[in-house]
Amino acid sequence: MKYRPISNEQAVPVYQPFVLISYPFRWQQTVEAKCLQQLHPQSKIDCVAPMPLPITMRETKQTETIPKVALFVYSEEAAELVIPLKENPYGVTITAVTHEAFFAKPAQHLPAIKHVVVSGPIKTIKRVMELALEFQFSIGIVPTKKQKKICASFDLPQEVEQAIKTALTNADTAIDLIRCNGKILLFRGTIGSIPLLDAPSNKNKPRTALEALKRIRRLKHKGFTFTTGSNRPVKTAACGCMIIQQQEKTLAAKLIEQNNSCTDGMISLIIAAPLSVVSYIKFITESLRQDFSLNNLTSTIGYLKTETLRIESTEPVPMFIDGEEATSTPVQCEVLSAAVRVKTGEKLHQQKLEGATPAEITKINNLPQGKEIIKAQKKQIPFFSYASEERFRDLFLALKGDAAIDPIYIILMLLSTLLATVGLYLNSSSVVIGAMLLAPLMSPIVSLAMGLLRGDSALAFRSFRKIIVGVGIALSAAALMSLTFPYKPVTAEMQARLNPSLLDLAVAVIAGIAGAYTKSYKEILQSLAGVGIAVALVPPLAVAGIGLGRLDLLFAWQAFLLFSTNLIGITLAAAYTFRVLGFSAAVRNKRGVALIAITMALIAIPLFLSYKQIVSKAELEKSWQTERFLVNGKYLIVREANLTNLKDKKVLYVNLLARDQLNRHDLAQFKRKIQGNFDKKLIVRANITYIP
Amino acid sequence: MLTRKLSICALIFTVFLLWSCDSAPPPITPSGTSVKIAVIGSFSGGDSHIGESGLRGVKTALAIQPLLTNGNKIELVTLDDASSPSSIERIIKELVTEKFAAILLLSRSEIALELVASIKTINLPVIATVATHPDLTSDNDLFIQLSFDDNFQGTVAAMFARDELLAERAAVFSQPASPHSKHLADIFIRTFENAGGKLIAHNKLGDTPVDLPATLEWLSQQKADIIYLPVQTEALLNLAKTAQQIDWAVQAIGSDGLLSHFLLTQKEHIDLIDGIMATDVYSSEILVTETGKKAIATYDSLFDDAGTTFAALGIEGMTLLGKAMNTCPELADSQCLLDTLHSGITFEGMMTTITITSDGKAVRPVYINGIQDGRLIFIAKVN
Repeated sequence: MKYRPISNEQAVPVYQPFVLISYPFRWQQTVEAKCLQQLHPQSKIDCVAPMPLPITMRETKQTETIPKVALFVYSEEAAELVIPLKENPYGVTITAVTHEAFFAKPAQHLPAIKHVVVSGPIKTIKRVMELALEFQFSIGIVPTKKQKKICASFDLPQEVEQAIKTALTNADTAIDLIRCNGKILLFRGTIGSIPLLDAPSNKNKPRTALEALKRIRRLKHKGFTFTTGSNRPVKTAACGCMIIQQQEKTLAAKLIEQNNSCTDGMISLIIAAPLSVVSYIKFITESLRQDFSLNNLTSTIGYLKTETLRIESTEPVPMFIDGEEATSTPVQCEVLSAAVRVKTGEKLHQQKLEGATPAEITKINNLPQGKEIIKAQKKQIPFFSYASEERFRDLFLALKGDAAIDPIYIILMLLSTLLATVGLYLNSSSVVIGAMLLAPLMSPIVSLAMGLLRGDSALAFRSFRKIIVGVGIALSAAALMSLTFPYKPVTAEMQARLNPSLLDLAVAVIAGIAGAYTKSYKEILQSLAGVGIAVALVPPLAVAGIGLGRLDLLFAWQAFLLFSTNLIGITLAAAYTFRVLGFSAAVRNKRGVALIAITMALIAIPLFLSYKQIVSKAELEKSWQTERFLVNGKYLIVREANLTNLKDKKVLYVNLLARDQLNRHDLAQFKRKIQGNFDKKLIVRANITYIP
Repeated sequence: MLTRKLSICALIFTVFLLWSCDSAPPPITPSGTSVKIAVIGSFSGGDSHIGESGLRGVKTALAIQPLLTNGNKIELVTLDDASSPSSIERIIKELVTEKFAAILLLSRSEIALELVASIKTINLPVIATVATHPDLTSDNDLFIQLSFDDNFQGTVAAMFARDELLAERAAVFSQPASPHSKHLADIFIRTFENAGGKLIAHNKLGDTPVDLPATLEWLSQQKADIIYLPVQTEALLNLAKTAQQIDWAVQAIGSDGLLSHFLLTQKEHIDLIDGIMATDVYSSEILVTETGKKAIATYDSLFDDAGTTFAALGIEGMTLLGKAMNTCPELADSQCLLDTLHSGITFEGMMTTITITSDGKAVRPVYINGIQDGRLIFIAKVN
């Protein structure tokens, strides 16, 4: 059985305000709601069949009237208002009574009273509202000095005179009441923890955001089931949720600000389910924007708007109603539509008149679903997000496709290597770049990174196999081509790939990040990142093949070492980029993460060993730009120096400027002086330019 | 899973630990015997900052290596030359009263040259840390010159001016009362002219007053494009002030210690010498060696005063002496020490590896520093 307001036939136009007072006032109630008469047997309201609330009727509930008599119910801190109220200039006769006396015997005071003015704590106001449900009187609220929240919610003035005027003369606005497990919820009800959303919106925003960040690391998800009025259960994991009733100035209220939450006959619920610290930071950043609203909910927030709501959780969670612990889950919430008439400010009253027809809203796409729910509940919120395969189905299908070997891949790999080899022999950067454009290495590397990250061994294996095939083709093609060349010079383009430097590693890492990033967003041209990856891989691979063709294994090994470092650098960078972007597996990413960690540790050892060498080489080459030599009275200016390894020896290439002709003795002394700067014996190659 | 993770971490940590650990030297047991080293320096008088700073450097090196490898302890005996060559006679008398293994000389060339004449009577090896005059080692096996000599320094200045700055017309200001300044000026002029440059004037600053404004005005008219200044700080300040008065901006090169001493004593006038260059033993912008890092850390832990060139030379002098003494097991074996010091001994200095040649000269680079925006900057290193 449902309750409904008075029928269409009883609807009264808004320009006949006094008529309504003579009718019994009724409210709409929801499917699960109990009959109000059962709750309040003394009420004379009938239980009638369900019927939607007509707009005309909703409008008629706003009456513009000044009552002849009114009761003033006050608490101790509002006693000073008794005189101003009694001496009000609006001709209303006021009878003052303390709230203890009124609540002890309400019926004794009410028969002749149709309007009650109340001033006191929230508890008192809520109790008066409960009695208003029963006795059908209208309410005027005179807020105390500290009750800014009430002022904001009911659009009430803070000045006493204005507040008295509003409480006695303004039009009535019929507002909804929400009851959760029988407790009236006037402003908000919170279950669990929802950092930031529960903060007042007028508070210092950066400070609020900082406080939220501190709380976020302590959050833990719990399993929740939200059942809406249409009996639709929403299963998810969340750290908390909040029912918002009045227009309280919180960030959460800002989300639903345009929806007349206290007059729409609906319950508005915000669900906070941050999948990661990163996603929550994103949400916090967005919340600081002016246009932050329901329309641009991030992956952190869900939203329900429904006539009735049942909240269940995997374990009992206390519910705080209007700041006080009132009950715990499971919680049954019902809305008593247009249940009490309150003399509110003009703004709220106007919003009420403009209110749209309520409809159920369910925005839960951003909340954890499926396996994610299990993952979310296991421990505290991770730093980076995770995702189920279902969430990014298209991307994973594409990655699986990229891991498969096909003829196009083989042909492109072959052609790009041949072109790169020719370019390297020609010492032509443009030809080498052309080869990079052809290289199809990006796809399997990105797939490998994702496979490792998500612990998808099949994807990782197929991707790795594809890379190995590509590497084999490249080495063989470059080696065979090199074998056929009668003259095999070592060009500067090849030299550049024989000594890995920190810049090469930087190229690998940036290319890896770019590769993963572009793969994540369809709208970005992926070939650009592909070139970046090819920069780091194809030329060293071709140089390694040339080394094999020259039968110089050290030459091949040096280039292949650069290729291996770059390959692992790209893979790791791509994997971690996917991780940052929230592509970690929801339930089985441990193995993938462990594998990445082990791989990184393994590659870290040779990288660490070579790090000092790379840095000292860079420092030496830089310092040598200011190096000068005085050899037998002849002054030599070093323009450039480059230290490289050739087999087991170091070779120093020096470009010199000199004014005087150097003889054998000068060169011998020059070499001795250079050798004095090095611990190990080195080969010196000097290019001397004589200046006039 | 946690155990496995911990095992991996432990393995990685062990690998890095093993890799990074150098083999520690065996501990040295004190023998209870002391070896005396005479430290002659200007601990009073006008050059007291040289002696005091140098002594702090010597003590720093001893703090790093307090014992010789045979367990002998080094005992320092300081002898003050009071910044005057005339005190050398007294010091020689003091030296013969005690048994010393070697002498560390922390004084300028003027005092060092005075010692050269008398040192043969006591036959002790002398490591001169600061003195750069080439005559110290020219006919003398007992002297070891830790700093570069003035022949090298003067030649570098001339060739840098001629070939790097492309100067064609040079003027020189020197202080003939100082053999160091006089020698540098002579070497510079000879080298500059041999390299095709033209000397416009050699101005000698001494007892006779020089009309600096007129002199500089004339040099300006003669279009001198470099001035070589092997002079002391006060002379440089006067020249800089005069150049500013006549509004003449000209390139200038000074000699070792000039810029650092100017920064130390005339910092308020630093803008007057903006752009000036000088040859030096060290540069503040060059990376120091491992020995240098250790020495700087030790010095900072021992003393509140800022480290100077003289302190660094003191560290290097004691390090060289310690290395040579470690090769001579016999207590205070002066001949063994001399032979070792002349055997091409090499050691790691503050910024580079230094070799002592058989003629007692140090093979080490000259750094060319400059003043830019009130700061000492590195320009070039000449090997």
